[in-house]
Amino acid sequence: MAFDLEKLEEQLNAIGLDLIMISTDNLVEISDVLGKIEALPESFAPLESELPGQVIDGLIEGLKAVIRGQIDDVDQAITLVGDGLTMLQELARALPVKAPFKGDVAGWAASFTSLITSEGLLAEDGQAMSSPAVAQPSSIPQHLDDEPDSSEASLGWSLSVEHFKKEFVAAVEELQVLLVAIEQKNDPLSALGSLTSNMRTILGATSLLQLEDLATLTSSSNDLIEYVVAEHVPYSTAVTDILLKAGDYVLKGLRGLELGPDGRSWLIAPDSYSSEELSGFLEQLWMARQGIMPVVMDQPPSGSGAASAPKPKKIGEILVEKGLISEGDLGGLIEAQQNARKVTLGDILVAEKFITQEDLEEALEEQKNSPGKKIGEILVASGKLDYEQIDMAMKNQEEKRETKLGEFLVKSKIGAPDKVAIALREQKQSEGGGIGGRGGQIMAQTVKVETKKLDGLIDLVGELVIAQSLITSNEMITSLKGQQVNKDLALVGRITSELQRNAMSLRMVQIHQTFQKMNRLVRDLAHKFEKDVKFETVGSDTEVDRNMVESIYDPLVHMVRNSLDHGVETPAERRENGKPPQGTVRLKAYHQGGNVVIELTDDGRGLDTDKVLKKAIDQGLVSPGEMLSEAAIHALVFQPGFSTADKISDVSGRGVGMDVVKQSIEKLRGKVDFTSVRGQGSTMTIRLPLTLAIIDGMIVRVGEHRYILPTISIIESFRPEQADYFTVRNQGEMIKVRDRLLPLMRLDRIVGAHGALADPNEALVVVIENEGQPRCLMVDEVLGKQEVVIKSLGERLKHVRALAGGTILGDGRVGLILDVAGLFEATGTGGPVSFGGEGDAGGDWDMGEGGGDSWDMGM
Amino acid sequence: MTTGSGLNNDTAIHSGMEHDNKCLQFELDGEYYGVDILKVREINGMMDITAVPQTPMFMKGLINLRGKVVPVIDLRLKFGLAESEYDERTSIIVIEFKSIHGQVQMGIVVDTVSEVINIPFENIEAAPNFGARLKSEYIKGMAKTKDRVIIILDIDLILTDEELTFG
Repeated sequence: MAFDLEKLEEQLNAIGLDLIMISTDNLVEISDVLGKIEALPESFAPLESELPGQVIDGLIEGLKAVIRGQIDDVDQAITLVGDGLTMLQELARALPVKAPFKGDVAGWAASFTSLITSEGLLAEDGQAMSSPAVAQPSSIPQHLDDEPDSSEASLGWSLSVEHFKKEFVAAVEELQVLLVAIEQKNDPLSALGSLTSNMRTILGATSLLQLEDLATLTSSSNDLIEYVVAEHVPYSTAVTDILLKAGDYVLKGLRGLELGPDGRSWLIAPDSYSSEELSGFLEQLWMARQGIMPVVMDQPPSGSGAASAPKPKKIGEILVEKGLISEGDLGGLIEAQQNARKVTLGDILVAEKFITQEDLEEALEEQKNSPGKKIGEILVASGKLDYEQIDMAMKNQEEKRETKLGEFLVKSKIGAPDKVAIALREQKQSEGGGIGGRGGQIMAQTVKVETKKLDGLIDLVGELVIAQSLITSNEMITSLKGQQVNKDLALVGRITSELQRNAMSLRMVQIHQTFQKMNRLVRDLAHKFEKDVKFETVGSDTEVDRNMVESIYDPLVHMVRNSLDHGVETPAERRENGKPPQGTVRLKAYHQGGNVVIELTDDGRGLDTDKVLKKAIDQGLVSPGEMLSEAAIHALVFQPGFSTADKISDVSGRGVGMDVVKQSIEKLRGKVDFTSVRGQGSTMTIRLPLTLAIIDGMIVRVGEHRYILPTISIIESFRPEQADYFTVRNQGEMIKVRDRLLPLMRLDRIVGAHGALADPNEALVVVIENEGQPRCLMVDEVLGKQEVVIKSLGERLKHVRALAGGTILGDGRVGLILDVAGLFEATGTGGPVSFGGEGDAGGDWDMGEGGGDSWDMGM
Repeated sequence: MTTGSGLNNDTAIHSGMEHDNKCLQFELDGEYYGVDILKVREINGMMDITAVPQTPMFMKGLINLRGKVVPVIDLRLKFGLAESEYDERTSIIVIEFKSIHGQVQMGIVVDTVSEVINIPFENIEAAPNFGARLKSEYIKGMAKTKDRVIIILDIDLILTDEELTFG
């Protein structure tokens, strides 16, 4: 496997982002991070160095200690984890080029360890891990008389037990809610598959804490999901039922979770559930997974399914219906059958006259004294029985237990065998019909298609649209003038555009699920910050590009956290300000002019503009005395490193803030906007393109070349006056745009086009911006606006800096899409101090302002 | 994929040719060249080519091949031959081959495509060294027919050449 720095950096960044947003008492999140770190060694493997491994081991040990509650100063630990990640990042960059690595891995690891040992727990840790009490935490406590070794330690532990319980009960409950929700989905299978990551988190934590029963349950449930998804088992409510039941067992276990008598291990209270019950259920789970069994196939559907598929009837019911037996008979029979199932080995042995009743009672008495021994064993040991007799008796017992109602009927001579057979056949038919009907229904609803095929289809439809427009604009055809021809062409046009709309919709999914996850987040955070928050979602059926759904999750989480931490006030504060104690946070999605808009509104305290300005001046982002508009001050929250938090909470104020949100949204070619009214609340608006495959572009001409400029990065365009044009030391060129001097880039020079206009006063200047910096781009003219489908230029050309991709234009030619960031790079440094072709320093260009208010004046 | 550089021994000459030695023959500056017919996806007349900035001269640009964006190189320029005006005989041969990035399509501009010829195995000889103009690695062998000599190109190697990755 080749070393993939890009992928590794992505992994590390993802962990870093998680870490920033982690709440230290949320074990689910910590184990999530742990899981991601555990995946790192694979990416580092090609480097063949021991250092990353050492750091990763340190990280894993440290996080495990956090989860086990062995670290008091969790914030410090998280900081150390952050340091470790930074070291990994440095290693990832240094190792492939054999650059020296200055990080002190040993020192770092030592300070991490000291954090654990300082609690005096590490020394016993190893021992505790191997002690039997921990190894079988769910079994009956074995060291009842063990004194807790340190009352202080156990207090800390009982606290974290409570935390763990709360977190995981919530996580499992959430899963159950999702399970139920999934049932109503069009494509339950793929939705079900998406649960596995949640399952793994729970599994990771339960096995880490060595709660074996729970871990087995979780992994079996997970296996069942994977089986159902992989084998395309027709989805039935039975799957949900059994998974819900598994969840109930896990919940039972979790609720019964308590601190073990040794003060360190966690046990499940023995009376939480019986182990026979559990093992019986586990078997059921296992069978369901093998696909053999009743759970998936034979159980009657409930709820809406029942309407289309009648519930299979019980044999007894059929017999009564047919008048073959009376209802009274049936009751007696069922009782007899149940009694037969309860029959014990001892009873049979007595009935068969192998032993006497006295012998049996004696043996039972003995069994009470030594639990775990089987009755048969005791009898054999006392010489009253031999193994053969026991075998015989056991077979007898099994038979009795398995006797079906039908057989009972025949045996007890109430029903004649032929009548029972008729009833049985009828039972089978009603079952079969039910299943067949249900299966057919689901097949009709969804078809699984490889995304590659889908993309191919969408591409082809795009071609069809172009081909269609080529035909309709062909002069020979337009000169035909026949009414019928025009009509037919219009028809083809209509069908083509309808087809294109349909094909595009295949890429779209509802934003619903992302919103649902936010719901949970708001609940947790509200609790954490002791705020009372009502969360509303509007337009969760809004569709977005399927590739985009994942990418907007992290920014949204960040925004929601911010809103709850800084926005909504505590109930007391709200009452003081004459607001209802319950705050409202509303997440709203809708389509607007070819964009998806997501709005997060809260009715909190809003942005304190004075404070923000003061902070910005303190941090050197704004020079004192500078007058900023309201909008410009709002925009400051997107400055890197800016935070208004007075004190650093573990959620917000870690120095990485809204600029991360802005960057991730801009990566998706979107925009973020922030407005706020002091004392009344704030609104953050994300505007995203409908799909990642299509870009809204301006076609510009320079010389004989045409290029496409992404509309999202264009601020304005105009033809400059003579007076607006300046040169700096005859090297850098500047254009004055509303009292600001912006560097001028000539597109013809960047792309090497011939015959372009040389005089800026004749040409057109387009103001474009990248990462908040505006610049002027000189082109000959703007030909128009067009939506284009982005196509890859292939491996060979993907490194050409000025290009973001290609597309097929309306005339069938290939058009090139300019990469604004690449253009900035191509003309020299994109940094705040220098600009222009030669990187000549241009002191006149005021960067502080440039970064501020430019992005909200978009088109 | 590519046959590497040791082309002066017999095994290299045979590679890819022992089962099927049908070649597409084309003309370039008065000389005849051939490429393995199995690598040829299609032959087109001259098409609209969009030039790509920041690339060498021989990289003519991109064409729209039924919705796919395909890069095109001018083989004359690539081989250091004199540039010539494109006319109605100028053709773009679209080559398809496997690379580390998967199936790749690339177009080559040639003066004219003549025919598909069958070259008996024994008529192929190892490539002599042409000096600086055309790297001998690019040549799989020389094929003699009745009236001329055809230079059989290792088109994969030419198109996977480092030179062709820009930026």
